[in-house]
Amino acid sequence: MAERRGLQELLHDLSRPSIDGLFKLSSLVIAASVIVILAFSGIVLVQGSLPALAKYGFSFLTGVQWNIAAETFGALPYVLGTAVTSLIAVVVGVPISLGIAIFLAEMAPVSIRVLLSNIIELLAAVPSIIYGLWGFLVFRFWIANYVEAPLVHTFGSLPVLAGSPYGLDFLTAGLILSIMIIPTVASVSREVMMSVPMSQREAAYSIGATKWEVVRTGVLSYSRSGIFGATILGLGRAVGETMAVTLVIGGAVGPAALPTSLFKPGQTMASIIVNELGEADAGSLHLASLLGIGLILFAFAFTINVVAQFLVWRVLKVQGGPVE
Amino acid sequence: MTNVPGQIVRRGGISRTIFVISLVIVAVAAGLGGYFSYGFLHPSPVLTLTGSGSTLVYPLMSAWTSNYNSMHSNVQINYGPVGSSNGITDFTNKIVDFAGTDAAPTAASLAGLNATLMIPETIGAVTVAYNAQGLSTGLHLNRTVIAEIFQGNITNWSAGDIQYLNPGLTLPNQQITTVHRSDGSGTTFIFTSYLSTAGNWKFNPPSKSWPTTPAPGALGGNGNQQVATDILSTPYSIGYVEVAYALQNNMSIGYVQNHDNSSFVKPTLANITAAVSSYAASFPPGSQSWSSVSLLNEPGTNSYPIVSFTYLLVYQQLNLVPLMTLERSKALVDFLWYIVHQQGQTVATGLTYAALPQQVVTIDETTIQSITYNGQTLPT
Amino acid sequence: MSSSMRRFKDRLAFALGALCAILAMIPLLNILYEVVKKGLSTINLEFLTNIPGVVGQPGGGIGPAIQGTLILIGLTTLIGVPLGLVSGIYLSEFGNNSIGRIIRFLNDVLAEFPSIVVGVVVFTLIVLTFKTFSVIAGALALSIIMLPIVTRTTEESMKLVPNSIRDAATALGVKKWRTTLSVVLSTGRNGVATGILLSIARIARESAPLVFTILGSQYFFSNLNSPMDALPLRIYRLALLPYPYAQAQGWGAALVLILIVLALNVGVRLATRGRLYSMRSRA
Repeated sequence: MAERRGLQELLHDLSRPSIDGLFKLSSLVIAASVIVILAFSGIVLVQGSLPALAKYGFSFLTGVQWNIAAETFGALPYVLGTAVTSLIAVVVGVPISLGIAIFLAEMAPVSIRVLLSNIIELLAAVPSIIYGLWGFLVFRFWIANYVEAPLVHTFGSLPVLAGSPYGLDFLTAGLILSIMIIPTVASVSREVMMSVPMSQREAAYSIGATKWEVVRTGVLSYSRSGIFGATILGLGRAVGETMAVTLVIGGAVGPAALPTSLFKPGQTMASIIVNELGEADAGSLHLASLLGIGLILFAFAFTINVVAQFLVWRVLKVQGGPVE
Repeated sequence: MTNVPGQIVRRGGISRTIFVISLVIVAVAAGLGGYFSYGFLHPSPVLTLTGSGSTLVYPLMSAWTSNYNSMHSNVQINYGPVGSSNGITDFTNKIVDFAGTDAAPTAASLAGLNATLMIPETIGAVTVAYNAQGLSTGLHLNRTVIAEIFQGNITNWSAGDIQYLNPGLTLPNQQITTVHRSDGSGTTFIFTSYLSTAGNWKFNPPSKSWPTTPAPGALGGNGNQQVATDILSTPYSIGYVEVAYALQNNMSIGYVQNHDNSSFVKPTLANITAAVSSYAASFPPGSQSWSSVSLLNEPGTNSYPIVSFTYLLVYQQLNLVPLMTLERSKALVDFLWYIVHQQGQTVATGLTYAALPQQVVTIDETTIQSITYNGQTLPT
Repeated sequence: MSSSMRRFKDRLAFALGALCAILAMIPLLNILYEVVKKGLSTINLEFLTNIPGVVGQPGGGIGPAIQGTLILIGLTTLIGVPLGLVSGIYLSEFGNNSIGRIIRFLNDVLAEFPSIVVGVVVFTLIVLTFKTFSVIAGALALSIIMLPIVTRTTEESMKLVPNSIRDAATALGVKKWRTTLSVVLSTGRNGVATGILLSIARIARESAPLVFTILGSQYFFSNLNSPMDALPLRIYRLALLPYPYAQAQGWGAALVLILIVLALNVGVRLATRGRLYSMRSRA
């Protein structure tokens, strides 16, 4: 099919009506609904947050106060909250995911491979509210009793551990997120590794490398960018997660929500929106600030995912034609 | 089918597509079936009313709507426990038919809205509940100490100020974790109004939003419910919750010193009612703001000091609410009539909400009777 | 490096890999264990069909929540699948130009919208405009989440159909639209159907967009313009309540939700059986 510039094609079709042209046009119109949805969303977010952006400008991102009565708002604590929980998620979740991916792709015997990949997909299927329920009713007590209490006991005086070691804090939220991103990162990494051509591995085997050495030299170095992309995808999922985080993060507001310690209650961009959107009066600075945070959140997720797509889809692009 | 190279070939088993499509059909069918089944089972048209707001009144409102639905099966009243601020915003945006709030809006805040009526439907009490191993219920507290705890100046259970009020008790040497509301809350408004009478409370004026205090590791819960859950699940924590939640969950509650400093009062129905009976001033009509009415710190040996009305907000001209109909307005008025009179108030006292004084019931009657739909007053 | 050292490293790598796998399995197994143990005892016919009881008193069920989830799935499918299907067809058959690239890119942008932001947008555009919390608003929010997934999977499935098939049809004189619908789509229908199932599984578990759109309800469905309950939302509200009965009901509702999602995923598994694996990880 010769490629024509889209507009040229459109005008060509409009000038010569035919059923084929009608089919193409109508499917185009429907496909363009995504443009309409995004346009409306953009208008809602940007127009809604204008009062806050106009008042604060860039300092909205650096402001720390969040006082509804005094109408002072600043997004920094929540931006940092999202950053810290996502960081914990990646630092804990990605190594585990990589280990699983390598194990699945290169090392595990076939029987375990099938069982394990099914289990990983099962992890992905669990709804996030159930992670939240489990986190709030079960996991936080594990963390409080087996992680936080001993840490406070031995290192209690460190400021990064100050606060209230009872499980409703940044650490628990970050750990739940790490569990939630494992399926994404593991399966995409595994796909990336599997797309490494056999010739790479054969070359390594042919000089007598052990399985691990084959992985290290033949596969990992080749798929570095893809794995990095998988990490970014996981980060994107962690940034956008709402309900699971809201239930375990402890609900702090304003300067008290600054992540100065792992064991203190906090707030992320997503959770502050869930908690406060319904209360913000139409036209108020409060609503504008919350919409501004929504805009920032969207910008985060968008950037992260564009980068990830670029890194991963390059490696895994599905072409037209028969599958190999 | 001849084998075209590259074509995807199916390999036996049931046709996957048919299986998949049938699943989709089942889902759609189940949904629509649910839709229609309700219509078959309840042929009379269902009147739905939606309210939202205060979580302080939620256990009671839930009982009221359930009882009302048993008495009038075609009226379904749905109440969303989203907190007083959220309720007021929903009311302002006209996306609910009525709202519940423990903090009566001021006349100024209602200025831009259509005529709004305030209907105090019951009286609640805010308790200071805690969870400290070794401490059973009944810790003696006064407003100065409570203020110090919640603003982060007293951070340990064994602090001298607490010990002073409780000479016989052994207090644990543990850090206090305070629990407050993360959402905009009428309960917070009541509590901070009470604390601001202490003189040492630094976060004035009182508001529905909890201030940022230096109390270490202070937890924020969404709604009275989650504050109660947080207290119950966090060791050595203390927070403020409506008495119904505290009693229903056997929480340890503080006995708070009364206005005359003569005794430490347990929040029982009798003591809450005593506070209400001691209120001496007059009540405004429902067409005006009740923001000046306060039941805090009422005199009397048995008057529990942290008591407050909670209000339902309704537009006086219901036809101004989009999607409102004459039938639904009649149902709303009938429901309001039910809850402020004896039948409804008996349910309230059963859940430790104080009954409305007769004076207030009379005012509410006038208010409810002033509700109109297209100029028509509605039967009560 | 001696060969035994290398072999040791090899074994160590294997052990570490297995350890990671076990670490990932522990939370999953625990979640399933807790949900089943605590949820199973709550589930009986009454629980599944009754309306919730009075708050603070044990009893009542999650009937409206189950009905709401099913209705939302049905409505969302009715809105999102046709839109996504046609969009995917356009992108695959006619999308090899600048307009197609723009739409494809925007579709990926929409796919990355955090679901809470979708809820915020629908709240502002639909709930505030029509002045009511409603099932429609919830279905619209979920459709926005579903649309990019169906579009993307439909496009990918149709692209997998070899060009030789399209060419053969053209050579026989079949019009383009007929080719696309009768030949290409039916050849790629497994992938398309899989994508649809995947997207349904995805929206069945969403909870954030529902908070601002359907409000939740204690009653069964009455009309499209009223608030409604749904399983994820009910689980959230139950999790916040301090009462033991509420937590037990939360686990029961969680079990029902997991079973629904699992059933959908098993459907996907049966339909793909190993191939088209790439699609599963992207939804």
